[in-house]
Amino acid sequence: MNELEVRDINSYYGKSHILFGVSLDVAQGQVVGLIGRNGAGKSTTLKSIIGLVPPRQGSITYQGRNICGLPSHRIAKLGVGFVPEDRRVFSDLTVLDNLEIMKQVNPRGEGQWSVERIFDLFPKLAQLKDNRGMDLSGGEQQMVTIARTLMINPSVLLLDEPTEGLAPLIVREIKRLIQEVRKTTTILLAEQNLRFVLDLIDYGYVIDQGKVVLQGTAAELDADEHAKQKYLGV
Amino acid sequence: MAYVINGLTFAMMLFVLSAGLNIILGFLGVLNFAHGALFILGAYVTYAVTQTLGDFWLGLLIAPLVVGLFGMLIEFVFLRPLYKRHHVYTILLTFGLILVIYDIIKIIWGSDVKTVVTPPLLSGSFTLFGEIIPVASVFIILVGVLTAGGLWFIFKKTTFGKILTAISLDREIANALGFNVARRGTLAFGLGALLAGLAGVLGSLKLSIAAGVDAEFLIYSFAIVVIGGVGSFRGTLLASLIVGEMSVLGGVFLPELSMSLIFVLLVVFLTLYPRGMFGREIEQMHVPVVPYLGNVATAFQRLSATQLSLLSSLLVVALLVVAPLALPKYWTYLLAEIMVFALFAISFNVLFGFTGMLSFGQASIFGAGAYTISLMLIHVTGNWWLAFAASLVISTGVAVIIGLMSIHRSEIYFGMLTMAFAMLFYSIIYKWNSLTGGADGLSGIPSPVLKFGFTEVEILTPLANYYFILVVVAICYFILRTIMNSPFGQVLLAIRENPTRTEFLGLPVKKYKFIAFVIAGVFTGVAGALFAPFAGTIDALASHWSKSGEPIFMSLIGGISTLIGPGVGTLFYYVLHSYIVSITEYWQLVMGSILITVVMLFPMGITGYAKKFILSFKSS
Amino acid sequence: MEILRIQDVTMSFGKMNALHEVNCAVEPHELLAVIGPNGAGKTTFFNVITGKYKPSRGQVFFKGERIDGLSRPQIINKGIGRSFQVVNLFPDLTVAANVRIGVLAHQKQTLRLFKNVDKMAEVDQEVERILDLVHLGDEAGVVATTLSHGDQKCLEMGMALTNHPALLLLDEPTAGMGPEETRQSIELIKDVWRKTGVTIVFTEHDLDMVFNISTRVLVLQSGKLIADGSVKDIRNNPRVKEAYLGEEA
Repeated sequence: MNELEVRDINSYYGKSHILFGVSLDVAQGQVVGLIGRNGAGKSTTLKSIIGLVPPRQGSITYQGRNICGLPSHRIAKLGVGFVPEDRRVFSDLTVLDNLEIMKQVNPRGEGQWSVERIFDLFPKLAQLKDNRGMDLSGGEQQMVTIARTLMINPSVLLLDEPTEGLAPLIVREIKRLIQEVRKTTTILLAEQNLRFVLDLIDYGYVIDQGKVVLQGTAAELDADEHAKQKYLGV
Repeated sequence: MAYVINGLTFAMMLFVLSAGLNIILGFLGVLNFAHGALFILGAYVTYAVTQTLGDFWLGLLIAPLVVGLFGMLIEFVFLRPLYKRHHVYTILLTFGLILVIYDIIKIIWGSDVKTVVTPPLLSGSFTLFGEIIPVASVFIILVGVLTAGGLWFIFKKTTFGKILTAISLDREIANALGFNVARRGTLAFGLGALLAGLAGVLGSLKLSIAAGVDAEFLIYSFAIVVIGGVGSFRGTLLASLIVGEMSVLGGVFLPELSMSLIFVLLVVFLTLYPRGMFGREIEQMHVPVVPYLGNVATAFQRLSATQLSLLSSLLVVALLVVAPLALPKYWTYLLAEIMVFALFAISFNVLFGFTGMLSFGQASIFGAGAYTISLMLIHVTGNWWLAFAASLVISTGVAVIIGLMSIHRSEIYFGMLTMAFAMLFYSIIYKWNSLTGGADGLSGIPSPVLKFGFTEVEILTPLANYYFILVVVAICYFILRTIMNSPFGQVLLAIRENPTRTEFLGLPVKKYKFIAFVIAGVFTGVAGALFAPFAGTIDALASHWSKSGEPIFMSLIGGISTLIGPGVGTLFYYVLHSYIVSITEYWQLVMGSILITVVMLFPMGITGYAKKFILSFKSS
Repeated sequence: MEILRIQDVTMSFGKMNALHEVNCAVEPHELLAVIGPNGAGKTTFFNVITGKYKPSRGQVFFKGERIDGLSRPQIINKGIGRSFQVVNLFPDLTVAANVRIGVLAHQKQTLRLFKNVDKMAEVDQEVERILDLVHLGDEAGVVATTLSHGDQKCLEMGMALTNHPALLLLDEPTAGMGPEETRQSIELIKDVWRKTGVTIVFTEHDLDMVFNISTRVLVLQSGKLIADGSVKDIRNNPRVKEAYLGEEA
């Protein structure tokens, strides 16, 4: 069964039409890539799903239920975890507080993510637990934003460009985290960095100028030199 | 020592009140003008509970809860729909709420002053190091300290407080992570109102309770939040101590200057710490003041559409010239007053509707003009020209000072600062008895004499006064009209629409805002100078900050997007006001409700909707 | 002489370096592209030049004169024009009125209080010239918000040209555009560049466009300048490929 089905959505920022009939499926347990250049519409697609930019047309179904038009916090509570781009940690709160407050969203603590488990997996965060968000480096902030969303124990995770602007060493660390998360959670991963996603994803959609222009397995996408040139640059 | 304890007591009341104001401002971006009204409501509820149940301690429990719940209701019903709009609309709404709350109090408890019987446990005093210290003071200080501790605990130790902090840092992401941001906003407002109510309980131990005594507290808490910094309880506490002690000790040793001292302090702190001692900048989305209203409205916003054509303007003047022939004497008199206040409102709206600056300091400038011309006419000269010139110099000077002090700050701070300066000015007028006559004001202002070459005309009769005012107001209107049509006027519109972009065209926005403030000040001063000799008397209330509310009300009702709108609004306001006063003593309730309705449902005002109607008629 | 020099510029926010020791120079009449993945520091690069941020370290020179630390209007008045990634207009004014404010500013007319703005022939001529330049001559009386997205971007550029800039900074001029609009926009930029002789620096995500029109390309990654050269150099630069396609796993 598909965890998430996006059908023909059209989304706007004010008067600018950004998404033109985007459709995609995310099957349970899969990691699905949403690949495209800057400004192609990746972020808008994720924000449409979480309800921050509600689509004007089309439908979004999550676990068989239409979530289009619900307020963001309701969608999140149903189990859709959103990790924004540009990190956006709560800068005045400590690392631990960034994680702890999320217990409110998932008060029964259902699921397997807890502060202890996150600290086990990322000893670095445990060391930094009393530092405020604003005092972290970019990579550390990115880890916190992902960990923060995991605390609601989402059944599907929307990851928006987790490697954006990060150094290679940290990119590797983030990758390790995603490998761990995928064992239990469905993931929709937006990235412009094709090589980064190839060995992570089961299936991928290439998006360009607000439309899905290509889809296929990782191998299929990688083999398509023409598409790489045309849609992903270089 | 006893004075220090008194200062500390006052400081703690202020702290509890200001902490609530700060929560509402920090978490919702709402500058709650009704905070003082909630404070006094808390005192009245305490009074009611003490009277009916005979127990102050139940009042201590019930009053904050009642006020807190009332606050949540206000947030849910009135404020929530306004967050998408420019923040001045939430300010105006809370302004309207003051009127409504005052009259609700009047309906329930009447208008005589109440006092709460101090419970036996808190009455009396004890002696410490040879000083007599009232038990009630110690109690108030204790509650203040417990509140500070409680707030520290809530925001540093509880998840609820941390979530509120998270929301104030990034509403969008907090929402996307599953937090019901809107609901917590209601809770935050409730918490802020609860603190206002608690401050009211404390106040009831020390004050005679009457609607209006809260004004001083409101102004002090504005000063405290500006000095301490938005979002910082540490800052609020420290600033409360400074302001509380200064005002009590100042009151003892320098009674004339006590309030002025606070504002000198305010200016010093703002120069040293532009964001307050521990504060942060309030995140504000830029939304133009004039609301968008669909396709018709867009055509309407064009420059030419903000003004009556020259022909219609002349027609209005012609109508005003013949009006006294048709109107009863009383109405001629009233119409003259309306013209003076129309000028006041129109020049206010040059700032508000055309530049996007909401100033609460205009009454000071009006007062400066009125007092100067009165003093000149009484003491120096009967010559109107001289007196008028002096009055213009002084009122422009006041505008320059307020402008220089306030213009550098972002929009909400600008409102708070102009308000604080207005209060300072009021306190100077009020306290400077020998010059201004204090609360009684000046009366018997002689009629001005106009000298033209060798002829002299004394403006004696009401009719002469009417035409005199008409000439001056008409000249001012045409000057303002010309200015708004000029390149400079275009820049003001640009600043209203998009200040950042204006800077990227090479125009220093603050400089233009300052010039606009001074221009508006000049014409406000003219209105003041016209008013005093016409009325024959002037008192301190004319420069009270609440008087700055009137042009706001008039502009909004008449329509802030047109030059003539506030004038139409003034006419409407006067007619409505005199009608309502004639049918009910609760006119504040009615006027407040109208203001709230206009803010929420009809923000374009009379001329705005008229223009919209005409344009849609033309285009179809 | 070079028109712009960025010298050892570092811009940090807390512990993060949005720009790290960037050095580069722009010669007159270049059409220079700044590219790089999301978050590489392109917009910060512009913001440092136009005075939104003062660099944490390093200096910015415009025509040999140091401009970092100056206020935004001061920098603009030295002869730099800027357009924005997210459309940033006076939404409720007409197209002509939008441009007119810039023209008034440039002609130093904005402190005139008693001149009717509708009766200034020189200003109107200049507005007309600029609108023709950005192909909006027919839309002069239209309210800015009702323009198509592509036309709003053209208006952005028109406004950036009102101060006769020696240097024009265009932030993502084709962001959010369809293919046809993108093509037109490229033509427009080339056209303006040829006709006015202005030096243009632009950031862009559409690499086809970059390789199509620029005379030189700078590549930013994680705040560092990793490449600087001709289109051909950049196409074949392994570090650039890596930045876009990802590191070898």
